[in-house]
Amino acid sequence: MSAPGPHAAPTIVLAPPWSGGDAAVRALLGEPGTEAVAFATYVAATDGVEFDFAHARALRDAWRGGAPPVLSHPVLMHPGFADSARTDPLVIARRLRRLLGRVRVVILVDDPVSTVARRHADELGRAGSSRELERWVRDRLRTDHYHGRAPDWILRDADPTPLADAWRRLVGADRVALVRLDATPAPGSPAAGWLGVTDDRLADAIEGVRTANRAKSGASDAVRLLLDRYDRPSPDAGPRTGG
Amino acid sequence: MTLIDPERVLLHVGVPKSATTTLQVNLFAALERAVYLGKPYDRPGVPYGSNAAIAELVDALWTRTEPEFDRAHAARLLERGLADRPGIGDPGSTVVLSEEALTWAGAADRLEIARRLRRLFGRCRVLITIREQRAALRSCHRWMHARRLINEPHDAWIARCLDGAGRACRPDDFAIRHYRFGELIAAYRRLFGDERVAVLATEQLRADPDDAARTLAPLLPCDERTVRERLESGAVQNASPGRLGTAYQRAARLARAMTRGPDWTDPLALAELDRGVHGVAMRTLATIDRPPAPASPRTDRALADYFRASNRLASDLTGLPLHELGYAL
Repeated sequence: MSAPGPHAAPTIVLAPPWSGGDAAVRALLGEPGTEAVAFATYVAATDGVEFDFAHARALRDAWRGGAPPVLSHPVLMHPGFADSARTDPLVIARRLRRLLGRVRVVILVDDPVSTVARRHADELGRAGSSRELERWVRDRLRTDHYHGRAPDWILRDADPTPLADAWRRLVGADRVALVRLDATPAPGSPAAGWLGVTDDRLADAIEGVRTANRAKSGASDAVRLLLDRYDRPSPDAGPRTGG
Repeated sequence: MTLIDPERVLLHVGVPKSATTTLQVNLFAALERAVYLGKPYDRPGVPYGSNAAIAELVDALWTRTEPEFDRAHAARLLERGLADRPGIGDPGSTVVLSEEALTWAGAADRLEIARRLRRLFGRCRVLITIREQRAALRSCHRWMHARRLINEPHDAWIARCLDGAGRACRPDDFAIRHYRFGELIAAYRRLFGDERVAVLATEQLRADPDDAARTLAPLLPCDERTVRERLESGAVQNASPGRLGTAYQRAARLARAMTRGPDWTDPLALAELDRGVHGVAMRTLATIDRPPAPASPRTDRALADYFRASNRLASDLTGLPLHELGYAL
């Protein structure tokens, strides 16, 4: 698929932290520039009562660049790290939609439990045992509850599929592409074109992520059961019940 | 169309440690013609299902992000929470929802919380209670330290919150951001109307109780004298003991629950723990309980810088004498 021209709609790339997706994007597009970082962090990490659209537009105008314009930064998918605050992902999506128009969205998807395990390994500084991982997940779920966050935050960070559904409702299903990080992208998928790269380059970047991820801690079945207990909604289920 | 006439509703969105419990227990829950929706959710005289629905509603309001917040279900919870509630059939009563978590920055977005409240309750009246941030954060730290939710000293905690490094290229200020209430006040005024939003500084309760009563009385089904009497009754102190005191309280409450029935979460039990044998024990423990180290002047200056712009906005919007009350301006 040929790359779109310079006036194409911007593309937003979202990757769950610790999925390896950020590494894939950097391999494809390089590090984001200062202006992109400033725009992305303002949009993603500013409280709603403090958000100023005029200021956001100024940052956007300073950023606009590249052909096609691609906005990617870890903060867009995970503005909160560890114990810090997190801006609502749908709030971020609405802001981007309002500031950038009908964007295209590429969401990199990995097995969420494996992503959680890699997050644990990163914090530990080494691959953890299954028991360590299970204990860490339990502690994190309990701590999040004390800090007033829904207890499954750790899993919500790792699984972007509910967010993908929200983006589809915002911009249309034909403008959202999911790319699995644990599989070779199918040729002809729109994601490569929206990123301005060839199918082969995208496939190579994904293969690099898969190789790197294989070297890190795997997920334990016990953790998978633990996280599955939080009754994750399917992408098509719509908003949760129970508030 | 809202479930209840907005003219009958008061939303209290107080920042943490701004005398929210004092107002809830001494005033909102104690007024004859107030229908109080708030903690504790197991108060005698209120149907369990009604309390459970409000508890679930409040939880959803401030913990659910937008992809997961179900507006229709929230409305159903409110309807269930109001049904069978004592006093709800009296058209002259005031429904009061009070919860400090509604101002927290970081679980659900503060503006989205405000919008959710606006959709549920219409252009009702809103009371925002604020407190000078350095004092409030010292109180927060003592509270968390006593419960072993935090072990680092106050200075280290604040330094970590204000550190501008990190992958998000911004401070990890979840724990303190909600004390930037100037912007919060502005947002509520835009949503509910300037004249519908009242702001009370905690310091006014001590420094100028008459003025505090003048602010509160028009929002509630009572006069200023009743407000003064209720607040001066001082039935609840709610000062945070240290770790030993907290451990003792928990043990005493557990013993109470095992011997006297399921009212152990009643905050009035706090008052009992200040009297008699318990009172002696608590005061003895307080003399040996080692409190966390106080904030340094450097930390206070850093916090003053952090909050100054927001305080100026709050002062401009409210006309309150925040500088005289000790706020950084």
